[in-house]
Amino acid sequence: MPEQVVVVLTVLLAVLVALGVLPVVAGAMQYLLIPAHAWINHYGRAAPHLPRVAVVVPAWNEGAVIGRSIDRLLSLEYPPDALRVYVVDDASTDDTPDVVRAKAVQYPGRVVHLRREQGGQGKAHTLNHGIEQVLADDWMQALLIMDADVIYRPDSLRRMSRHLADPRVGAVTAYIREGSPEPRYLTRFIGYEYIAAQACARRAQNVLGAMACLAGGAQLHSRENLVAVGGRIDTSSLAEDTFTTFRTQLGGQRVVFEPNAVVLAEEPGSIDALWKQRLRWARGNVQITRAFRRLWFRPAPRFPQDHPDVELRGQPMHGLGGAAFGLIWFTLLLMPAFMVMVAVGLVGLYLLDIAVPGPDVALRTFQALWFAAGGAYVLITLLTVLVDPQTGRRCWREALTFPGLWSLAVMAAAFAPDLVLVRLPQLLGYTLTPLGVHLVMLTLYASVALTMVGAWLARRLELTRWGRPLTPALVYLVGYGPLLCAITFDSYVKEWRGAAQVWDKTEKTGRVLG
Amino acid sequence: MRLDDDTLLREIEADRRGELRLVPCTVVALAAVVVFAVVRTAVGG
Repeated sequence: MPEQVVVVLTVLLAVLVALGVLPVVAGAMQYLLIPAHAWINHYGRAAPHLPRVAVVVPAWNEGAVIGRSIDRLLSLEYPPDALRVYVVDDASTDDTPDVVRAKAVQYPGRVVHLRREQGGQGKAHTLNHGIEQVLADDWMQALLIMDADVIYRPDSLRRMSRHLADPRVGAVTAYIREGSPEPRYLTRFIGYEYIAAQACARRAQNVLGAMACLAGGAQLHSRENLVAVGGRIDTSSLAEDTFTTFRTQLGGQRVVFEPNAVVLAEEPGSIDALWKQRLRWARGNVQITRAFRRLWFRPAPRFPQDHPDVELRGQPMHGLGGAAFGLIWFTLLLMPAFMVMVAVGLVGLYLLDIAVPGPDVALRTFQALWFAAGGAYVLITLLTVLVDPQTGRRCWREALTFPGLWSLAVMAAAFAPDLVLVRLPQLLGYTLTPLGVHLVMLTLYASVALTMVGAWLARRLELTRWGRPLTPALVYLVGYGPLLCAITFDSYVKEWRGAAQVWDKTEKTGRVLG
Repeated sequence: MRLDDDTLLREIEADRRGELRLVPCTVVALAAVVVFAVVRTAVGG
């Protein structure tokens, strides 16, 4: 093979691997922003503020949880005359209407039952039915959108509302924490994921001044903001929460994450249910990326020079187009693609090394990649657990195995290849042939992508008779992170095929006790 | 729970100060990264 071709191929393949490091860089960058939240936060502009809040709760067959949710809401540490609950019953077929009507009698004037006779169109349609009602009169000063199954800590609403004292803030979101009293392996993984994705990532987004998403179960909007975004929730995508978040910020209003407002949520207990929920979210993110395609990596328009808020005059209206925010958004969205690129790059470099003997480029690249990934893994895992030690204590095993035991073994192999190629076979009483060495190395190099296949198999395995005992072991082996990547990959396929937008509601049992 | 302005202001201030704990947490995590790098370099060459 001509030398120039080898050089070009080597560079191209190395670039593929280097691009695969971008999620590591973005993750580390995001975590290094977290300490800045000690100073760059919104507390300086927060003030005592207890507006009249209308809580809109979309409910479809929530009979098991809705009664307790209403009780909890009305016992929040918040002025009773400034809190009303509107349950939008989306044509439930269980006892939801009876439960809500009983609560309306128990709390006269504070609980309103709104019934949609034809439901099943999705959460956004249900919410819009309620929003239309609360906007019909002037009572509501702020709107809280929540899910029927979430449990607000008593102090959470007032901790959110204080940020609306600042007229620059259009919406506030809270920290959704996995709240099962006896979490299973999957809910412990989700518990850890939520510390990372919310308590950590949203603090970093507060610092950047650009919020990716208001949590669907906890978003408090000022009336002015609700009107400014059109007085309704977008119904065209599967990510209505993110759509509202972006529309709020594009209108020049800030979105604030309040880490001390804690909301407990029940999360899926099976991979199948998790897959359906996250596929909806991932497809929604693909749709958002397309819908706001003119936004990314571009400077925001500036506030006019005659803006009533003097400090804002000439300032950028939002931070969504910033490079850091774009890097975070796209590395998450394209994570499966990056994983495949790393695998293709490493396997290609290895084959090139075999074809043209010379410096062991593949092994060196592999080691550098895992050195960077290892450092980011230590930083992210430890800081995540420290940010919420209460949740961290109960899911530390899932924190350690988040990337998967297999990937951790690959990392060890990257640091000490002899361990896998020489010592381990010797321990088992044999020596690897040259072909055996090639197969082992190719498996190691392709493993980043292969873990996604393993995650897909875990979903299939769960549905078989051996699923109950074996699926947890497989998830710990391939990792929860790769499982999420496999779901994101599935979202590409579904969007590419133009698959129907299905609102697969996550089944709730009411096991969150708060 | 009293919801007067003084109480709410104290709560805001306490939460603001509470965020300072993120700094030592990050220092600990970064120290662990340094240990990882040193060990990796010493063991792996």
